[in-house]
Amino acid sequence: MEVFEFLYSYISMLEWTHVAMWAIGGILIFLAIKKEMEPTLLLPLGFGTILVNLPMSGAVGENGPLSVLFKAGIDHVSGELFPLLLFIGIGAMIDFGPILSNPKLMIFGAAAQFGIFLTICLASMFFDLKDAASIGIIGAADGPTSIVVAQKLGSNYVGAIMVAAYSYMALVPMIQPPIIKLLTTKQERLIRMPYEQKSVSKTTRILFPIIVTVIAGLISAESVSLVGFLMFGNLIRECGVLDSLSETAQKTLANLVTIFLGITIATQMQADKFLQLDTLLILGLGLVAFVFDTAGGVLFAKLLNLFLKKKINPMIGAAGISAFPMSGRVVHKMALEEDPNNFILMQAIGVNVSGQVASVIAGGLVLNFFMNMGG
Amino acid sequence: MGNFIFKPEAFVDSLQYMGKGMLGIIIVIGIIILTTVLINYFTGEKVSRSKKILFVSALCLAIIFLSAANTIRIDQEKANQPETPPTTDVSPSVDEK
Repeated sequence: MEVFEFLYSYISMLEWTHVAMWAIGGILIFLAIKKEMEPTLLLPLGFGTILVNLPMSGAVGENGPLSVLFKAGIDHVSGELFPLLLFIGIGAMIDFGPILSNPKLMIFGAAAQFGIFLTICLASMFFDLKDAASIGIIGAADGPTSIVVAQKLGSNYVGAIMVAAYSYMALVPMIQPPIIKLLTTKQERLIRMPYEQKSVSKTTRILFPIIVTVIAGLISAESVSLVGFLMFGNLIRECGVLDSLSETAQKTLANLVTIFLGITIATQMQADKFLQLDTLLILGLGLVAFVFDTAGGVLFAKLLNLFLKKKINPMIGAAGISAFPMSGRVVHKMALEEDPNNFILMQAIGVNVSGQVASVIAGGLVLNFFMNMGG
Repeated sequence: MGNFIFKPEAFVDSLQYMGKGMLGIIIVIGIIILTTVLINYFTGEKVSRSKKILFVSALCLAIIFLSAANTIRIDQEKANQPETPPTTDVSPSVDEK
């Protein structure tokens, strides 16, 4: 039998925790392919989970390629390069036109970040403040922001945070509608909001990303990388003289970084880090963050309606969550279900886009509060 | 299996971050909204070229003034910092060696 030891030596190291993680990886792959839930991230994450949970896996460890990629692109030492590069691509994809023509809608993006801070308070009952802040940022509903904040704060739960963030982003069409219906009356859901198309000058489109970066950076220096890379991508798109770069950022760069990001984050999905009761708690708290983001946006809109003559459909507050464009489409669909002639898509998408900006600023503020905190 | 300890008092202690966070983000977004409204106004066709130039000039002057004032204040703070006393040389002199 010793002659065949080379065949079974690693099999003899297989533990139940490895098999459990294979199952989790398989579930993520199933969700990505069969249910088409965020396949760009969940598929590489799922497969990477299987890779890193093979006994003595050569993919991780000192010279393991995934560990090397992690140090190069995600670790704090590298400046969280991969998610920030992805932000260039995301920025190049975003059209800020709807909020530039109606800037007031941006306030709902701010209100819909309530879930982040409430979850930090709830999570602080179970985890230290830096981990609580990293868990709360799941409510940003933005993968790169969650990774950057969790890494900069040195969280031990990056894997669980990533799974929660991306899974719940994909589940927005299931999470938001019950919350919205619970918090609004039928009369409120029937409120119509006529859309007046206003043109936005090219100068405004070019100045907006520059000015947002300066304002956010002056108030929260830690947010410069997050906001700056997002707005850089948008500037490439809007300047009108870099079409090839814009297209590269939106397609090639975004896809390339997504491939590396998904499979590299899987290094945090090793059994000893993931299979803990903490993981279940983090998944639960992540859901709370999304629920209260939705509630925050809707309730803020209802509060404003107390003072406004021209009422707002409070459902658009829920679109302030950064899950773009799903959240906007969910709200629009709900409005159509109540009244087939009630079109609030442009307002919902505008609020949804503002949620992207607000979530990145919220990430910067969280870093401002907690990054220099001891312990 | 869990590495957490339940501390309910931490919820109250961390409420300050919720207050600061929500206030902070509403203020930042408020500033961005105001700035966007101003940009839309001054890049629109209704405003005359001279008004646009006046606005941009005023903005540039305000930024230059603020940064100059900050630079002066920082330089003054550096100048007012007490000088660190020179360290005494404790190495043995050549004669002692």
